Amino acid sequence: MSRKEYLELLRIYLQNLPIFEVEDILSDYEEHFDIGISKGKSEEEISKELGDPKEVANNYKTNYKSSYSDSDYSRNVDYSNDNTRKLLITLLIVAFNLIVVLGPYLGLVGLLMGLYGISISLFVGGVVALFGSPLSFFTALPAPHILTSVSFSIGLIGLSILAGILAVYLTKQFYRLTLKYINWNIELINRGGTFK
Amino acid sequence: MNIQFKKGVLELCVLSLLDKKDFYGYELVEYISKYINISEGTIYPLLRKFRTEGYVTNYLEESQEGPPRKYYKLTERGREVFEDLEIEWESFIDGVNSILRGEM
Repeated sequence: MSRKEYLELLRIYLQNLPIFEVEDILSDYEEHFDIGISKGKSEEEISKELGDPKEVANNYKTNYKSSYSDSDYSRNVDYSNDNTRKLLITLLIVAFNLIVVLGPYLGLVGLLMGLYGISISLFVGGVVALFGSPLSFFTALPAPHILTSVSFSIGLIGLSILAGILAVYLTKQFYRLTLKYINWNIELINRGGTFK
Repeated sequence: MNIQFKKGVLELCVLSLLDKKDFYGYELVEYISKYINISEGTIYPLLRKFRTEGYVTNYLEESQEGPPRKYYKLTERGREVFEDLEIEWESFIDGVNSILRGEM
């Protein structure tokens, strides 16, 4: 077998590995042929000594499996078809997200919106307080002193700003976590399908 | 001889050689096949596995003839693994020899 034939066959048998890995592996054999030829061996001789390219490729594949299967959470899934496997993992993740994650997630969104609501109503309360204590609507008390109204108003608006700051901060963190979670999902899907 | 057994022994040989000096692929293959009858194509996959497991690292070095060569260097971790394997091997061989010589 010529050098070209040998490398082509090896490439075909390795096709399930990631492309950069295949190129790197082939470069090792390019080097091997180069040096062998410079030492006066023929391409046929070198091919023969290297052994059946199919066997060689199988060595890489078993190494790949054993070094990654430890961290493999879906060992029961059929390895024979990368795409089936990828699809299964995608479906699992989608189902998991819909059933387990979505409810609490929306709950958290609701909490955040509630916090904004609190901030806004405190602010409105503060503004209203400027024109008189809300208590005076329900009781026959005379309108409070202007100082009482103003301090009441400042207090409410201060609380409103604090609540607002808290809400914005939590929203930012929440957004960051959401992105992280989505990325993690995508990574899971990709990793699940690449290694065979 | 059993192929799995041969592979295990080959791992020990490669680690042992790399413990003595850095080799480039061809050199290592040439050296080993001088002593052991094995298809040379099994050594490169092994070297790659060692690299994934952190037993060896690679570096390129210029050569007088032709392009730079990829050298393999044993790491600390690789050295530890080699030393453990060597001890295992010695006691295994002792055991096998005892049985073969029929010592009861």
